[in-house]
Amino acid sequence: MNHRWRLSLAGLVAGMLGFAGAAEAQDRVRIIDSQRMGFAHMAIHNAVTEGYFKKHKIDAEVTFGSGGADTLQAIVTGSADIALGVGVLSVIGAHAKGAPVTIIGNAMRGPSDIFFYVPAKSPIKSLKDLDGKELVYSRPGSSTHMVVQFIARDLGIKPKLVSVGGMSAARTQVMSGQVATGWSAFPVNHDLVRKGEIRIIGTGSEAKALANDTVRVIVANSNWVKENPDVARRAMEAMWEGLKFTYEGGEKALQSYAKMWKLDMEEAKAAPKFIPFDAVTFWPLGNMDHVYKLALQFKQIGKPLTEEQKKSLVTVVFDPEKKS
Amino acid sequence: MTAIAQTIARPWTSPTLGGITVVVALAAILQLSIDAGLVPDIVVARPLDALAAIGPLNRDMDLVGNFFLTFGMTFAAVALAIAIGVPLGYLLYRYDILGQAYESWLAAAFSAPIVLLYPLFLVIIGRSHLTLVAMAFIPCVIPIIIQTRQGLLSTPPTHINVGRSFNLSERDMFWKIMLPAAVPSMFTGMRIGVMYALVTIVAIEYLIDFGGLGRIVSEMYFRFDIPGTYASILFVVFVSILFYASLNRIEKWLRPI
Repeated sequence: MNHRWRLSLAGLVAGMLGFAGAAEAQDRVRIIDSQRMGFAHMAIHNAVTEGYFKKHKIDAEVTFGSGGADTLQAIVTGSADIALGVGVLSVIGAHAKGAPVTIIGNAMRGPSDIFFYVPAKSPIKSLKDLDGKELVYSRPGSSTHMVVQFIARDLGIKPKLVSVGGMSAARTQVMSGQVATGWSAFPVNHDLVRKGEIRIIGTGSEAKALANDTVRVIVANSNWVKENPDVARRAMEAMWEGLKFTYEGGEKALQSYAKMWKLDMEEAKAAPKFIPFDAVTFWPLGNMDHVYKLALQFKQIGKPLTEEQKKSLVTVVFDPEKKS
Repeated sequence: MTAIAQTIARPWTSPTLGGITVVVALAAILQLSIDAGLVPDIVVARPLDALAAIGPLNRDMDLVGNFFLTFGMTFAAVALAIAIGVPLGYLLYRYDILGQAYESWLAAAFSAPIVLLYPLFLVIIGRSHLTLVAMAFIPCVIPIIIQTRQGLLSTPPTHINVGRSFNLSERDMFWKIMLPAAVPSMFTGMRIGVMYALVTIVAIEYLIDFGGLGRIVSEMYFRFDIPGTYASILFVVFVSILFYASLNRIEKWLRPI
């Protein structure tokens, strides 16, 4: 009996050492997904479930964030290494102020995933009917705030721009008649569109000036990238493979998306239409000269970026086009 | 003690000056720590930078105007809470069965995060500053009710016996003995209430674009303007200081000893 116990204990210790050894062979990367339910953000989760991170010897620790300053603070302070889907203007602002952040890829070009809606019985038929009426956005300085200003300018309308907070708060307020419109990002609230309870009156694509601009980015802590360039490259390569699976994985990928976020398959199938693959490829960054001007216009920066700042803002750790 | 020694010792004997001295000393330590690289300046603003940001912030975002807006809404919520909370606290004291029945419910309600219910309040009351006042009123009134009741219950029996020995009527007993004895406890409730009212109002202002100091904190934070963020937080602290100083004065006036 004693002999059997000793053998079992030895086996257990050997197993634990082996496990620890295997774990040590993987590099830990802390990744923030800034947009719950984002279709393109399945790049991270598919990279986990399909084993792409493991293939590239990455131990990915994934958490969720809000995409704004809070997520960026986590990167700045080194609490996380990479964040997917952070607003580009806030990254530029932070970088200009000396924060150790760098853009390592594009997350979204153009705001096509954002849509504006009204209750089904509303007399408003399109964004052009919003003269004097509320056109909502999330918070001052957000990408939705930028989008509504460009929509108003591009369509020649004079709506009342009203900050309503997040998508849930927007939905509550529009359905109770507090405001004329609501905002959302696919797939949130899209089930209400299918059920006929709300009508989409326009999308972010109507802000033509932003159509090719990078609006959200993949951002990393620049000190971490400098110290771990190979780890950063492998993590991005794994996420790229996850992204490709998301769009090319067919029914399996869509089911994985629907299952993870408890969506109807109809929602999942509509996702690529709102968020096309062309908009979420890691490179190129879209129209950055215009984006820098927007950063100045929206007071994220007090003066134009220097060439040195522009150079250090972007770090190419992995480019699928140049993959050997 | 010589005159020189008295002059040197004065900051430490005057509470106000002593407090200011400590704050200035802490700010100086923070400034030096950031300058020395011990504290990252991308997370914590240098005190001098935060002070320097006040002027531009006032020009850009009307910091002073929004200070008065936040102060005004907090004042409205606190005034309403005192007007309703003190009589309710008395009621729970007067009818002990009500006090025993509801005090624990009130305490439980106090710990609930009311601020998360802001979409519901927006629906019920509408998009107006009244919503913020209503939301701030709830966490403000509860400690006032509880502390008023506790204060009245805690009147020392000796004082009551003295009143009885002078054959005071019940009315006189209440106004001359019980209420003055309850004042410290009531004002404790008011101070707690002010704290929660201000936090609630600033939090809601932070979440939605309703103006006020919370909105400025939100925008500065979003712009990664750290000195601006701390400058606006400083003004939130000024609102709190103003309330606490006022409450201290009123309490001293009501209960000089």
